[in-house]
Amino acid sequence: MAKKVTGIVKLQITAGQANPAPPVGPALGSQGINIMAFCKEFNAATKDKGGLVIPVVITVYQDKSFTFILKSPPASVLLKKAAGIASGSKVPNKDKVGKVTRKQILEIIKLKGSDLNANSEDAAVRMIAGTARNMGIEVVD
Amino acid sequence: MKTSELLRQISITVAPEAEEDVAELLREEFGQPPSSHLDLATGLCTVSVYWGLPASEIPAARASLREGLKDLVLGGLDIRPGRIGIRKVPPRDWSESWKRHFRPIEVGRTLLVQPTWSRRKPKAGQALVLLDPGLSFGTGQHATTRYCLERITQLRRPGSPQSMLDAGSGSGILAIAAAKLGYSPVAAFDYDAEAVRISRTNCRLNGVEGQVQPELKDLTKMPRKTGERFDVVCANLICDLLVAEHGRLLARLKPRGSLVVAGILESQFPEVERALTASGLRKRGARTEGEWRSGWFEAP
Repeated sequence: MAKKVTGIVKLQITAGQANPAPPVGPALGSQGINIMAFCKEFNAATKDKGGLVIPVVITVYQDKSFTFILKSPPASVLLKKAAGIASGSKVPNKDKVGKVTRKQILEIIKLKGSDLNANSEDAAVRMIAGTARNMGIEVVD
Repeated sequence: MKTSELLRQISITVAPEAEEDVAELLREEFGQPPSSHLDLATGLCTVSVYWGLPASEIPAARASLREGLKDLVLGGLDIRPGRIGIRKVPPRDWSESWKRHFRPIEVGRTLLVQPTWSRRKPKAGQALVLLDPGLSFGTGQHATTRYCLERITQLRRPGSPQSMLDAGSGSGILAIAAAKLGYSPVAAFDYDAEAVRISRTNCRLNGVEGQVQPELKDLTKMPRKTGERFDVVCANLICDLLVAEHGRLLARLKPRGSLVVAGILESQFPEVERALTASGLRKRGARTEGEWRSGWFEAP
Protein backbone atom coordinates (compact mmCIF):
# COMPACT_ATOMS: atom_id res chain seq x y z
CA MET A 1 0.00 0.00 0.00
CA ALA A 2 1.28 3.42 -0.89
CA LYS A 3 1.72 5.40 2.27
CA LYS A 4 1.52 9.14 1.93
CA VAL A 5 3.26 10.78 4.83
CA THR A 6 1.68 14.06 5.91
CA GLY A 7 3.82 14.87 8.92
CA ILE A 8 6.44 13.83 11.42
CA VAL A 9 5.90 14.33 15.14
CA LYS A 10 8.79 14.11 17.59
CA LEU A 11 8.29 13.68 21.32
CA GLN A 12 10.41 12.81 24.30
CA ILE A 13 8.54 10.54 26.70
CA THR A 14 9.59 8.67 29.81
CA ALA A 15 9.85 4.96 29.02
CA GLY A 16 6.70 3.04 29.92
CA GLN A 17 4.86 6.19 30.99
CA ALA A 18 3.18 7.59 27.87
CA ASN A 19 -0.30 8.93 28.64
CA PRO A 20 -2.75 11.32 26.97
CA ALA A 21 -1.67 14.31 29.10
CA PRO A 22 0.32 17.10 27.39
CA PRO A 23 2.51 17.00 25.43
CA VAL A 24 1.43 13.61 24.02
CA GLY A 25 -2.33 14.35 23.88
CA PRO A 26 -2.30 17.72 22.14
CA ALA A 27 0.67 16.88 19.90
CA LEU A 28 -0.88 13.66 18.58
CA GLY A 29 -4.58 14.54 18.97
CA SER A 30 -4.21 17.50 16.62
CA GLN A 31 -2.94 15.08 13.97
CA GLY A 32 -5.86 12.69 14.45
CA ILE A 33 -3.68 9.90 15.82
CA ASN A 34 -5.21 7.25 18.06
CA ILE A 35 -3.56 8.45 21.27
CA MET A 36 -4.42 5.43 23.40
CA ALA A 37 -3.12 3.04 20.73
CA PHE A 38 0.13 5.01 20.57
CA CYS A 39 0.53 5.08 24.36
CA LYS A 40 -0.10 1.34 24.61
CA GLU A 41 2.39 0.52 21.87
CA PHE A 42 5.03 2.96 23.17
CA ASN A 43 4.73 1.69 26.74
CA ALA A 44 5.00 -1.93 25.58
CA ALA A 45 8.07 -1.13 23.47
CA THR A 46 9.86 0.74 26.27
CA LYS A 47 8.84 -1.21 29.36
CA ASP A 48 12.38 -2.53 29.87
CA LYS A 49 14.11 0.84 29.49
CA GLY A 50 14.04 1.74 33.15
CA GLY A 51 12.24 5.10 33.20
CA LEU A 52 14.67 6.83 30.82
CA VAL A 53 13.42 9.64 28.60
CA ILE A 54 13.10 8.16 25.12
CA PRO A 55 12.83 10.30 21.99
CA VAL A 56 10.23 8.91 19.62
CA VAL A 57 9.66 9.85 15.98
CA ILE A 58 6.09 9.29 14.81
CA THR A 59 5.28 9.22 11.10
CA VAL A 60 1.72 10.31 10.37
CA TYR A 61 0.04 9.10 7.17
CA GLN A 62 -2.73 10.68 5.15
CA ASP A 63 -5.36 8.32 6.58
CA LYS A 64 -4.25 9.18 10.15
CA SER A 65 -2.55 5.84 10.69
CA PHE A 66 0.98 6.04 12.08
CA THR A 67 4.21 4.24 12.69
CA PHE A 68 6.92 5.15 15.15
CA ILE A 69 10.57 4.50 15.85
CA LEU A 70 12.36 4.87 19.15
CA LYS A 71 15.62 6.73 19.40
CA SER A 72 18.22 6.43 22.12
CA PRO A 73 17.82 8.74 25.14
CA PRO A 74 19.31 12.24 24.71
CA ALA A 75 22.98 12.53 25.71
CA SER A 76 22.03 15.09 28.37
CA VAL A 77 19.69 12.59 30.06
CA LEU A 78 22.32 9.83 30.00
CA LEU A 79 24.98 12.19 31.34
CA LYS A 80 22.75 13.29 34.23
CA LYS A 81 22.09 9.65 35.05
CA ALA A 82 25.80 8.80 34.87
CA ALA A 83 26.76 11.79 37.05
CA GLY A 84 23.94 11.11 39.49
CA ILE A 85 22.49 14.61 39.23
CA ALA A 86 18.95 15.88 38.64
CA SER A 87 19.82 18.85 36.43
CA GLY A 88 22.72 20.55 34.76
CA SER A 89 24.43 23.77 35.84
CA LYS A 90 22.86 27.11 34.94
CA VAL A 91 26.38 28.58 34.75
CA PRO A 92 28.39 25.67 33.32
CA ASN A 93 31.61 27.70 32.94
CA LYS A 94 31.72 28.48 36.65
CA ASP A 95 29.57 26.03 38.58
CA LYS A 96 30.40 22.37 38.10
CA VAL A 97 27.61 20.10 39.29
CA GLY A 98 29.00 16.62 38.68
CA LYS A 99 31.61 14.35 37.11
CA VAL A 100 31.64 11.53 34.58
CA THR A 101 34.51 9.28 33.61
CA ARG A 102 35.73 8.55 30.09
CA LYS A 103 34.54 4.98 30.62
CA GLN A 104 31.02 6.25 31.33
CA ILE A 105 31.16 8.36 28.18
CA LEU A 106 32.11 5.28 26.17
CA GLU A 107 29.12 3.47 27.66
CA ILE A 108 26.87 6.35 26.58
CA ILE A 109 28.32 6.19 23.08
CA LYS A 110 27.63 2.46 22.95
CA LEU A 111 24.04 3.03 24.08
CA LYS A 112 23.41 5.78 21.54
CA GLY A 113 24.88 3.70 18.72
CA SER A 114 23.89 4.88 15.26
CA ASP A 115 21.80 7.77 16.64
CA LEU A 116 25.10 9.56 17.28
CA ASN A 117 26.21 11.52 14.27
CA ALA A 118 29.96 10.91 14.57
CA ASN A 119 32.47 9.34 12.18
CA SER A 120 34.77 7.85 14.80
CA GLU A 121 34.87 6.92 18.46
CA ASP A 122 37.13 9.91 19.19
CA ALA A 123 34.68 12.27 17.50
CA ALA A 124 31.83 10.70 19.48
CA VAL A 125 33.77 11.14 22.74
CA ARG A 126 34.44 14.80 21.90
CA MET A 127 30.74 15.30 21.12
CA ILE A 128 29.48 13.78 24.40
CA ALA A 129 32.25 15.50 26.42
CA GLY A 130 31.18 18.81 24.84
CA THR A 131 27.58 18.23 25.91
CA ALA A 132 28.84 17.36 29.42
CA ARG A 133 30.86 20.60 29.63
CA ASN A 134 27.82 22.63 28.49
CA MET A 135 25.91 21.08 31.39
CA GLY A 136 28.59 21.82 33.96
CA ILE A 137 29.68 18.18 34.20
CA GLU A 138 33.44 17.55 34.39
CA VAL A 139 34.98 14.72 32.38
CA VAL A 140 37.67 12.82 34.32
CA ASP A 141 39.83 9.80 33.39
CA MET B 1 -7.39 12.34 30.75
CA LYS B 2 -8.96 15.77 30.78
CA THR B 3 -6.95 18.97 30.98
CA SER B 4 -9.08 21.27 33.14
CA GLU B 5 -6.53 23.90 34.18
CA LEU B 6 -5.52 26.73 31.86
CA LEU B 7 -3.07 25.40 29.35
CA ARG B 8 -1.24 27.26 26.61
CA GLN B 9 0.61 25.98 23.60
CA ILE B 10 3.79 28.00 23.30
CA SER B 11 5.25 27.34 19.89
CA ILE B 12 7.92 28.53 17.52
CA THR B 13 7.67 27.75 13.82
CA VAL B 14 11.04 27.40 12.17
CA ALA B 15 12.95 25.72 9.36
CA PRO B 16 13.60 22.03 10.19
CA GLU B 17 17.35 22.70 10.60
CA ALA B 18 16.63 24.89 13.64
CA GLU B 19 14.33 22.36 15.33
CA GLU B 20 16.74 20.98 17.93
CA ASP B 21 18.07 24.34 19.06
CA VAL B 22 14.59 25.84 19.32
CA ALA B 23 13.42 22.77 21.26
CA GLU B 24 16.23 23.31 23.73
CA LEU B 25 15.35 27.02 23.99
CA LEU B 26 11.74 26.18 24.88
CA ARG B 27 12.80 23.46 27.30
CA GLU B 28 15.12 25.87 29.13
CA GLU B 29 12.52 28.64 29.17
CA PHE B 30 9.59 26.61 30.48
CA GLY B 31 11.12 23.45 31.91
CA GLN B 32 8.71 21.33 29.87
CA PRO B 33 9.45 18.58 27.35
CA PRO B 34 9.15 20.00 23.84
CA SER B 35 7.34 18.29 20.99
CA SER B 36 7.73 19.07 17.33
CA HIS B 37 5.61 18.62 14.22
CA LEU B 38 7.10 18.75 10.75
CA ASP B 39 4.38 19.63 8.25
CA LEU B 40 5.45 18.09 4.95
CA ALA B 41 3.05 20.34 3.03
CA THR B 42 4.75 23.53 4.20
CA GLY B 43 8.18 22.11 5.03
CA LEU B 44 8.09 23.99 8.33
CA CYS B 45 8.56 22.63 11.80
CA THR B 46 6.49 23.81 14.77
CA VAL B 47 8.19 23.18 18.10
CA SER B 48 5.88 23.46 21.12
CA VAL B 49 5.68 23.14 24.85
CA TYR B 50 2.41 23.01 26.79
CA TRP B 51 2.36 24.99 29.99
CA GLY B 52 -0.08 26.85 32.22
CA LEU B 53 1.35 30.27 31.42
CA PRO B 54 -0.66 33.09 33.08
CA ALA B 55 -1.82 35.85 30.71
CA SER B 56 0.19 38.42 32.66
CA GLU B 57 3.42 36.58 31.85
CA ILE B 58 2.85 36.31 28.11
CA PRO B 59 4.62 39.57 27.11
CA ALA B 60 7.72 38.67 29.16
CA ALA B 61 7.73 35.14 27.74
CA ARG B 62 7.52 36.48 24.19
CA ALA B 63 10.34 38.92 24.83
CA SER B 64 12.51 36.22 26.32
CA LEU B 65 11.88 33.88 23.40
CA ARG B 66 12.66 36.67 20.94
CA GLU B 67 15.99 37.23 22.74
CA GLY B 68 16.71 33.50 22.62
CA LEU B 69 15.96 33.37 18.90
CA LYS B 70 18.19 36.39 18.34
CA ASP B 71 21.06 34.52 20.03
CA LEU B 72 20.49 31.53 17.75
CA VAL B 73 20.61 33.82 14.69
CA LEU B 74 23.83 35.40 15.99
CA GLY B 75 25.22 31.88 16.30
CA GLY B 76 24.66 31.47 12.56
CA LEU B 77 21.39 29.51 12.59
CA ASP B 78 18.71 30.19 9.97
CA ILE B 79 15.53 30.12 12.03
CA ARG B 80 13.14 31.53 9.43
CA PRO B 81 10.26 32.16 9.80
CA GLY B 82 10.91 32.09 13.57
CA ARG B 83 7.24 32.74 14.33
CA ILE B 84 6.30 32.70 18.01
CA GLY B 85 2.75 31.59 18.84
CA ILE B 86 1.06 31.49 22.24
CA ARG B 87 -2.50 30.21 22.29
CA LYS B 88 -4.97 28.83 24.76
CA VAL B 89 -5.57 25.10 24.57
CA PRO B 90 -9.20 24.43 25.49
CA PRO B 91 -9.84 21.86 28.22
CA ARG B 92 -10.23 18.57 26.43
CA ASP B 93 -10.29 14.87 27.05
CA TRP B 94 -7.18 14.05 25.05
CA SER B 95 -7.77 10.33 25.08
CA GLU B 96 -11.02 10.90 23.19
CA SER B 97 -10.59 14.11 21.18
CA TRP B 98 -8.72 12.55 18.24
CA LYS B 99 -11.78 10.43 17.45
CA ARG B 100 -13.52 13.35 15.76
CA HIS B 101 -11.23 12.71 12.78
CA PHE B 102 -12.98 9.42 12.03
CA ARG B 103 -16.48 8.92 10.70
CA PRO B 104 -18.30 5.73 9.70
CA ILE B 105 -17.98 4.95 5.98
CA GLU B 106 -20.84 3.45 4.05
CA VAL B 107 -19.83 1.52 0.94
CA GLY B 108 -22.86 1.13 -1.26
CA ARG B 109 -25.82 -0.34 0.54
CA THR B 110 -24.09 -3.50 1.65
CA LEU B 111 -21.10 -2.45 3.75
CA LEU B 112 -20.55 -0.18 6.73
CA VAL B 113 -17.03 0.41 8.08
CA GLN B 114 -16.89 2.18 11.39
CA PRO B 115 -14.68 2.63 14.45
CA THR B 116 -15.64 0.63 17.53
CA TRP B 117 -16.84 3.69 19.43
CA SER B 118 -19.43 4.63 16.81
CA ARG B 119 -23.02 3.87 17.85
CA ARG B 120 -24.37 3.81 14.33
CA LYS B 121 -26.40 0.72 13.58
CA PRO B 122 -25.92 -1.02 10.22
CA LYS B 123 -28.97 -1.06 7.98
CA ALA B 124 -30.75 -4.31 7.24
CA GLY B 125 -28.54 -6.49 5.06
CA GLN B 126 -25.51 -4.26 5.58
CA ALA B 127 -22.29 -6.04 6.60
CA LEU B 128 -20.47 -4.29 9.43
CA VAL B 129 -16.68 -3.97 9.66
CA LEU B 130 -15.27 -2.59 12.89
CA LEU B 131 -11.85 -1.07 12.75
CA ASP B 132 -10.01 1.17 15.16
CA PRO B 133 -7.47 3.43 13.53
CA GLY B 134 -3.98 3.01 14.83
CA LEU B 135 -0.74 1.48 13.73
CA SER B 136 -0.65 0.14 10.20
CA PHE B 137 -2.44 1.30 7.12
CA GLY B 138 -5.98 0.98 5.87
CA THR B 139 -8.83 2.44 7.89
CA GLY B 140 -11.08 3.03 4.91
CA GLN B 141 -10.48 6.77 5.21
CA HIS B 142 -7.99 6.71 2.34
CA ALA B 143 -9.16 7.01 -1.27
CA THR B 144 -7.30 3.87 -2.36
CA THR B 145 -8.76 1.69 0.40
CA ARG B 146 -12.24 3.04 -0.32
CA TYR B 147 -11.90 2.17 -4.02
CA CYS B 148 -10.98 -1.41 -3.14
CA LEU B 149 -13.90 -1.66 -0.70
CA GLU B 150 -16.28 -0.43 -3.39
CA ARG B 151 -14.99 -2.94 -5.93
CA ILE B 152 -15.18 -5.98 -3.65
CA THR B 153 -18.71 -4.89 -2.75
CA GLN B 154 -19.65 -4.41 -6.41
CA LEU B 155 -18.04 -7.68 -7.54
CA ARG B 156 -19.78 -9.81 -4.93
CA ARG B 157 -22.48 -12.03 -6.39
CA PRO B 158 -24.64 -13.12 -3.43
CA GLY B 159 -25.30 -16.82 -3.40
CA SER B 160 -22.30 -17.68 -5.61
CA PRO B 161 -19.06 -19.00 -4.16
CA GLN B 162 -16.30 -16.44 -4.68
CA SER B 163 -12.80 -16.40 -3.26
CA MET B 164 -10.69 -13.34 -2.50
CA LEU B 165 -7.00 -12.55 -1.94
CA ASP B 166 -5.86 -9.38 -0.19
CA ALA B 167 -2.24 -8.80 -1.23
CA GLY B 168 -0.56 -6.30 1.11
CA SER B 169 -3.34 -6.50 3.65
CA GLY B 170 -2.16 -3.79 6.12
CA SER B 171 -4.86 -3.49 8.78
CA GLY B 172 -6.78 -6.37 7.14
CA ILE B 173 -9.75 -4.18 6.29
CA LEU B 174 -10.27 -5.54 2.76
CA ALA B 175 -10.01 -9.19 3.77
CA ILE B 176 -12.33 -8.64 6.72
CA ALA B 177 -14.85 -6.82 4.53
CA ALA B 178 -14.64 -9.62 1.97
CA ALA B 179 -15.33 -12.27 4.61
CA LYS B 180 -18.28 -10.25 5.91
CA LEU B 181 -19.64 -9.91 2.38
CA GLY B 182 -19.58 -13.68 1.96
CA TYR B 183 -16.37 -14.31 -0.01
CA SER B 184 -14.85 -17.66 0.90
CA PRO B 185 -12.10 -18.60 1.18
CA VAL B 186 -10.39 -15.30 1.91
CA ALA B 187 -6.59 -15.13 2.05
CA ALA B 188 -4.46 -12.19 3.10
CA PHE B 189 -0.78 -11.48 3.44
CA ASP B 190 1.57 -8.63 4.21
CA TYR B 191 5.37 -8.45 4.37
CA ASP B 192 5.23 -6.32 7.55
CA ALA B 193 5.08 -8.39 10.75
CA GLU B 194 3.44 -5.53 12.68
CA ALA B 195 0.71 -5.20 10.06
CA VAL B 196 0.07 -8.95 10.24
CA ARG B 197 -0.19 -8.83 14.03
CA ILE B 198 -2.66 -5.93 13.90
CA SER B 199 -4.71 -7.44 11.08
CA ARG B 200 -5.07 -10.65 13.10
CA THR B 201 -6.33 -8.57 16.04
CA ASN B 202 -8.78 -6.86 13.70
CA CYS B 203 -9.98 -10.25 12.43
CA ARG B 204 -10.73 -11.26 16.03
CA LEU B 205 -12.48 -7.93 16.65
CA ASN B 206 -14.78 -8.70 13.73
CA GLY B 207 -15.26 -12.37 14.57
CA VAL B 208 -13.77 -13.57 11.27
CA GLU B 209 -10.57 -15.10 12.68
CA GLY B 210 -11.85 -18.51 11.58
CA GLN B 211 -12.26 -17.32 7.98
CA VAL B 212 -9.27 -15.00 7.56
CA GLN B 213 -5.77 -15.71 8.84
CA PRO B 214 -3.42 -13.03 7.53
CA GLU B 215 0.04 -14.43 6.85
CA LEU B 216 3.52 -12.93 6.89
CA LYS B 217 4.60 -13.21 3.25
CA ASP B 218 6.63 -11.16 0.80
CA LEU B 219 5.07 -10.97 -2.66
CA THR B 220 8.52 -10.74 -4.27
CA LYS B 221 9.47 -14.11 -2.76
CA MET B 222 6.25 -16.00 -3.39
CA PRO B 223 6.26 -18.82 -5.98
CA ARG B 224 5.68 -17.68 -9.55
CA LYS B 225 3.37 -20.64 -10.09
CA THR B 226 0.64 -21.81 -7.76
CA GLY B 227 -2.52 -23.85 -7.86
CA GLU B 228 -4.23 -21.51 -5.43
CA ARG B 229 -6.30 -19.06 -7.48
CA PHE B 230 -8.90 -16.49 -6.52
CA ASP B 231 -11.93 -14.85 -8.12
CA VAL B 232 -10.91 -11.43 -6.83
CA VAL B 233 -7.40 -10.23 -6.01
CA CYS B 234 -6.97 -6.83 -4.34
CA ALA B 235 -3.48 -5.38 -4.54
CA ASN B 236 -3.34 -2.07 -2.74
CA LEU B 237 0.42 -1.81 -3.09
CA ILE B 238 2.83 0.61 -4.74
CA CYS B 239 3.44 1.19 -8.42
CA ASP B 240 6.94 -0.35 -8.64
CA LEU B 241 5.82 -3.52 -6.89
CA LEU B 242 2.69 -3.84 -9.02
CA VAL B 243 4.70 -3.48 -12.23
CA ALA B 244 7.57 -5.78 -11.18
CA GLU B 245 5.43 -8.46 -9.55
CA HIS B 246 2.21 -8.40 -11.56
CA GLY B 247 3.09 -11.88 -12.85
CA ARG B 248 2.94 -13.28 -9.33
CA LEU B 249 -0.42 -11.60 -8.79
CA LEU B 250 -1.85 -12.85 -12.09
CA ALA B 251 -0.70 -16.40 -11.23
CA ARG B 252 -3.15 -16.22 -8.34
CA LEU B 253 -6.08 -14.94 -10.39
CA LYS B 254 -8.71 -17.31 -11.82
CA PRO B 255 -9.66 -17.06 -15.49
CA ARG B 256 -12.15 -14.15 -15.79
CA GLY B 257 -11.15 -13.15 -12.28
CA SER B 258 -10.88 -9.51 -11.21
CA LEU B 259 -7.71 -7.75 -10.18
CA VAL B 260 -8.22 -4.51 -8.25
CA VAL B 261 -5.11 -2.35 -8.11
CA ALA B 262 -4.73 0.73 -5.95
CA GLY B 263 -2.12 2.76 -4.14
CA ILE B 264 -0.92 4.24 -7.43
CA LEU B 265 -0.21 7.89 -8.10
CA GLU B 266 -2.13 9.17 -11.11
CA SER B 267 1.09 9.89 -12.96
CA GLN B 268 2.24 6.27 -12.48
CA PHE B 269 -1.02 4.57 -13.42
CA PRO B 270 -0.29 4.29 -17.18
CA GLU B 271 2.79 2.19 -16.36
CA VAL B 272 0.72 -0.25 -14.31
CA GLU B 273 -2.02 -0.31 -16.95
CA ARG B 274 0.52 -1.08 -19.69
CA ALA B 275 1.98 -3.96 -17.70
CA LEU B 276 -1.42 -5.48 -16.99
CA THR B 277 -2.93 -5.08 -20.45
CA ALA B 278 0.26 -6.46 -22.02
CA SER B 279 -0.36 -9.58 -19.91
CA GLY B 280 -3.82 -9.95 -21.43
CA LEU B 281 -5.94 -8.24 -18.80
CA ARG B 282 -8.74 -5.92 -19.81
CA LYS B 283 -9.37 -2.68 -18.00
CA ARG B 284 -12.92 -2.60 -16.69
CA GLY B 285 -12.76 0.65 -14.78
CA ALA B 286 -10.54 3.24 -13.12
CA ARG B 287 -11.01 6.25 -10.93
CA THR B 288 -8.91 9.21 -9.85
CA GLU B 289 -9.36 10.67 -6.41
CA GLY B 290 -6.98 13.40 -5.38
CA GLU B 291 -3.53 12.34 -6.55
CA TRP B 292 -4.42 8.64 -6.54
CA ARG B 293 -5.73 6.51 -9.40
CA SER B 294 -7.07 3.01 -8.87
CA GLY B 295 -8.26 0.45 -11.38
CA TRP B 296 -10.14 -2.78 -11.94
CA PHE B 297 -8.90 -5.30 -14.52
CA GLU B 298 -10.32 -8.61 -15.68
CA ALA B 299 -8.32 -11.70 -16.56
CA PRO B 300 -8.91 -13.42 -19.92
